Amino acid sequence: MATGYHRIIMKIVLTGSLFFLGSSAVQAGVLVQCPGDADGSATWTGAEVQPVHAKCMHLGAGDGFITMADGKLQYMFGFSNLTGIPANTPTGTAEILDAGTLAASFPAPLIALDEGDEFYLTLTNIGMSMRPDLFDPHTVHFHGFPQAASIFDGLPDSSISINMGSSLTYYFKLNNPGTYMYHCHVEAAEHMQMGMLGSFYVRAAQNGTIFNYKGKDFSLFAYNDGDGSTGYDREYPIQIGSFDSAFHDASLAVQPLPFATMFDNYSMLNGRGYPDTVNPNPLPPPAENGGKLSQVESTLITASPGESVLLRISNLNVTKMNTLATLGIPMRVIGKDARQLRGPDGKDLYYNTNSITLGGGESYDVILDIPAGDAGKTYFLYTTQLHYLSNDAEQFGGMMTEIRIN
Amino acid sequence: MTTRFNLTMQLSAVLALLFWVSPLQAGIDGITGTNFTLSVKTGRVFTPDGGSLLLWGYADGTGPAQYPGPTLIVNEGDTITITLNNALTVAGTASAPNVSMLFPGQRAETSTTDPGVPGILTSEAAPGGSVTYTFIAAHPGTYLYYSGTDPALQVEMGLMGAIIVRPSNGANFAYNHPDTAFDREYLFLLSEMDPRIHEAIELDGPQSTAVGPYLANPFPVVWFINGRNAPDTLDIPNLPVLPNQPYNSAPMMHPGERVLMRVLGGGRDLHPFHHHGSHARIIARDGRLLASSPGAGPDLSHEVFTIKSVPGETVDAIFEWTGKGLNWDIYGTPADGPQFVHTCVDGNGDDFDDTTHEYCPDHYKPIPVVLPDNLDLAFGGFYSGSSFMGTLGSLPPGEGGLNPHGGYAYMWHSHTEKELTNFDIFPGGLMTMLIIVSQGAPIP
Amino acid sequence: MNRSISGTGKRVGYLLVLLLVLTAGPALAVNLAAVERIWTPPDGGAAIRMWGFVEDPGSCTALPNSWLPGPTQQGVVNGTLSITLRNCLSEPVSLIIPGLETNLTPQTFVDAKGRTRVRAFTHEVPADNGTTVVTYSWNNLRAGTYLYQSGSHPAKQVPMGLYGALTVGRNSAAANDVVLLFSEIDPALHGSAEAANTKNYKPKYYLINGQSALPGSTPPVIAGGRNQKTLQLRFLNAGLMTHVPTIQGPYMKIIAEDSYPYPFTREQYSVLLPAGKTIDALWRPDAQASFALYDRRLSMTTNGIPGGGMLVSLNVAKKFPWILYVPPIIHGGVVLP
Ligand SMILES: [Cu+2]
Ligand SMILES: [Cu+2]
Repeated sequence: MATGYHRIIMKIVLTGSLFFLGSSAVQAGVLVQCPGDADGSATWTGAEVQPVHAKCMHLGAGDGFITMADGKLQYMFGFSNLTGIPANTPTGTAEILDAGTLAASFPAPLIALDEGDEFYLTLTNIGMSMRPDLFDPHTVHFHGFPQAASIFDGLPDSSISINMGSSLTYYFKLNNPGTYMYHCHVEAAEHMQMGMLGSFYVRAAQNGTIFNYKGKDFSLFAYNDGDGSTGYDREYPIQIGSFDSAFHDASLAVQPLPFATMFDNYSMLNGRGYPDTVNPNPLPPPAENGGKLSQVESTLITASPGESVLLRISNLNVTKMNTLATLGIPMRVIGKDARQLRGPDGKDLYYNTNSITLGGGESYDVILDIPAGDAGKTYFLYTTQLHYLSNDAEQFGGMMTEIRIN
Repeated sequence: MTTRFNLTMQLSAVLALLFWVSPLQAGIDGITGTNFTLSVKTGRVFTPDGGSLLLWGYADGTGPAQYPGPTLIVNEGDTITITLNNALTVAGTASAPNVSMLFPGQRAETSTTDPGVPGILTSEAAPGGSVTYTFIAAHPGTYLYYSGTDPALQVEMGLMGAIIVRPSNGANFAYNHPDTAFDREYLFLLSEMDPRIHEAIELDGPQSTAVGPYLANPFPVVWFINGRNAPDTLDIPNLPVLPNQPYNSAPMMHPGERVLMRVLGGGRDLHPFHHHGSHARIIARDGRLLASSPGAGPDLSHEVFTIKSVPGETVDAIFEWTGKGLNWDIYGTPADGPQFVHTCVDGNGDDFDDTTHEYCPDHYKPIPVVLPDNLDLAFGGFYSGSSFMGTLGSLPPGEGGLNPHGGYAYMWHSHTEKELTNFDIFPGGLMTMLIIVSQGAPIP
Repeated sequence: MNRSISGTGKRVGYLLVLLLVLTAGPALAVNLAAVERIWTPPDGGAAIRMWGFVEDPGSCTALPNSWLPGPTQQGVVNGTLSITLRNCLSEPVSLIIPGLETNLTPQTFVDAKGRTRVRAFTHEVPADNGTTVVTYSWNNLRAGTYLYQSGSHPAKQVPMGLYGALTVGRNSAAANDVVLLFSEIDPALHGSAEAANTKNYKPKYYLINGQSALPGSTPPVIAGGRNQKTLQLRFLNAGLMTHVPTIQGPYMKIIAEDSYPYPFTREQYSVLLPAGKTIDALWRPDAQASFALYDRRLSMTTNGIPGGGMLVSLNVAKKFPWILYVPPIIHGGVVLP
């Protein structure tokens, strides 16, 4: 699916991949680069020493299956978390390929880091088990990373993408807290509709110090606010995403992909439609992926009276904007696109609202200040695009979850 | 839809990109002055898949119809007079519709000597007739103009364009405040088309009843920046094979420069305009500074990594990039080769080299990871072959080539990724590339 | 959902609410009924079955037959609001006001897979031909603009027409205020059968205050205050699509969203009004004229005919009502000579 110069480029890419797979499998490059980690597990065990600020993660890119809230089985492309499996060992490549096969999850594994971290993110291209005809490269685009360098931007057009059977390690020094997101940027309309999307946020360096804001002490903050105004007690990443099942079914059936008619019929939060959003546990794995957990993130929000709850909301819908509203409690909007809502000379631009509207690639940080007397109450987080309160044709579902005060 | 030979244009696009260094003007194309004569005519919007769509466009005088209409670049305080001629022709025996212009943000009046005919939203030019509007460009900023006659149909057909009002402060300011200074400016007029509407109008004429369901619930499948779909966005302006789409969108900058992004919602859909590379600071909406009080400057501005573009609204944002804080030297280190020996001289104490704007605290820090072997990689056309700014690395034959100065390239695009297609074909659509080239490299 | 409210519990809750009502500030008590009605499109299209809120006629018989958004309610700042609702429809209904905190008592059902789902955000009025009435109460009303709407099966009942506006107070800078309630109708979802897949929502009629402009005709007129007097524009979107109300004339000062005042105002000629959103703006007309207000998302069609839909004329009266004055002919906010 390419035109013009892209078409030429993709042709060569494809040829190159075939050559590589056919003739030089021995140098298949599964390789984790993580300082202080000898066996490539992207963790530090035994005698291995974690350097100050170093964080590592190993993601696999491949395919898999998830179950929609109305029971429909859905084929997808996605990322899996391979961290913890020694990759740089004689059997490492085989173990990684085995663990990463049909292991795609939706959303992609959560990435939550701390400001100041040096993040070594290894991406291994596992390949598509259900689509042996495909040799697509993949990337990780750290969406919103400020002052990005092209080489680690994950934009295939301006840099490099990793071929099947090999690994690419990205490096990010995290200087700015906030709510970002990540996704594959290869053939973005296809790979993103197919599910290569995840939450990514960076906690503020101010964490651990105490600020009193409106009579309450906080030690966790969305941003380095200097006054506690972004303080919170609990945080929940919430990623908006939607699937067009016709597109996914066409992909599985190796049919032409319907880009022009793309029309999402499943609206989700963190990879599930209501009421699966309020299931606190991972959803039962589909048999079709060999029983691997592929929907681990609940969106049930629980809190106690008097607490401040930070919702880190990002949208990676590829077909439309979405409006997400609370019912029963206002949102205090304190951040947008990984920046505190504060003017250049320090004026706070925070505002209260019932809903935020965000397109793909936008994020908001909102705080719910739970009133002291609200024990036992239930609030709702739902889309006011009320027609998306459905799982395809099934009503009372879709983009909605509950906020339960215990 | 009319089909048209495609390959030539694609090749010409590639060639034009390769010869980017030729003296093409960057910045914002448009027409200047205080008196403008525009005509509404038909034309064709060519899409990179080889097809074309019927266009109703504003033309500059006797020139061809344009999508978008000519960008009117005027000065604050000037009285602007615009005479609109209705030269629209339609197939068959149907009569051509009236046409008009709305100027949101301006207080336009109709001339007493050329009043046109009354319409519902404004005075209109009847077929073969004209109407003259005047307004005082009282406030600097970025604005739209578009048809006020059956806008659901006529804006879709192409009748929209941009107005830039330059402040009395000077041409390198967006508004009358020093914090709105910029080194370069680019226009991003975003729009979309539903081809079913254009085909029905072409077949049945302007009174087509077939368009009804499409106008009520449009389902666009082509998306535009400045009237072009990617990759044509990146081609040169005034390309002969795109006679009705003279404007391109090919932003370039040097590290440390301030780039003013003028982002306009020209169509009817919202578009999340994601600019890879770094945040941008939104300083104004609808031609008004985000200021707490007059003269305060953009003290209510804030930074975003995706600009929510709303139809009919405009956003001005300042984008800056230096590579600050990456924790490795984007200009390479001596260990990478003798050609990477360079200095970082911070005479003014701002942490940046005074000329190259390199972030000196990262000077000569090595890139912390090893890149895979070329055999394990796929390469983009805008990849220079090197991790380092201003460097061309070795690439397999046929790879790269679109980035002759070894810049860093960033996609600026609708993050509604579906909109990165042209009629079912990825990539394309509402997308362009920003190229950041090192200080010495020329920017047209 | 692990909560289910017993009938007794509900009644106790209502008693508590009633007690609060009795002890709080200025009270607004309203009686509404949810009824079936008909909306006749201006283009001569087939009449459309609607559900709507009306002033309670006391029973479910002999109802007037033309749909409009529910009557605008005017609450008092710091006062209370209680709405007693009769249900003349074929399924349970309820009433929520997003932005006004109250004790929601969600109603649930258990699906075939044993999962509990909320079907209504709060307690309901049963479908018993208007026999039972149920009261919904809110205390300490904050100044602002609100939607009231059904909280039961909202994906169906809200687009069926169960919505209206509530205003509380008025900005001190404004001499007048006006409600501009945007909504849509997709006739395909208004048949007698159960609503089809709501994902296929495709409205054909785009309304402001229940009216869709007829193409080629003078737009519906809305009183727009007086010349040189600040008017509070109350934008509400009860539809499911985003709209962008745009005014031809002086800029608006955008002051509040969902009843919450912004810390700083901004000036725009247009407003982003997503589904369910309310926006308050101050606007000072500078002419005795009619100013066009339209949706820049170009929902300016009536059953697909361009030139209609979400388009109204804000008619600004003369500054001093006691001076006789002949209005000039105006177009789009411009006084033509
Ligand atoms: Cu991918
Ligand atoms: Cu992105």
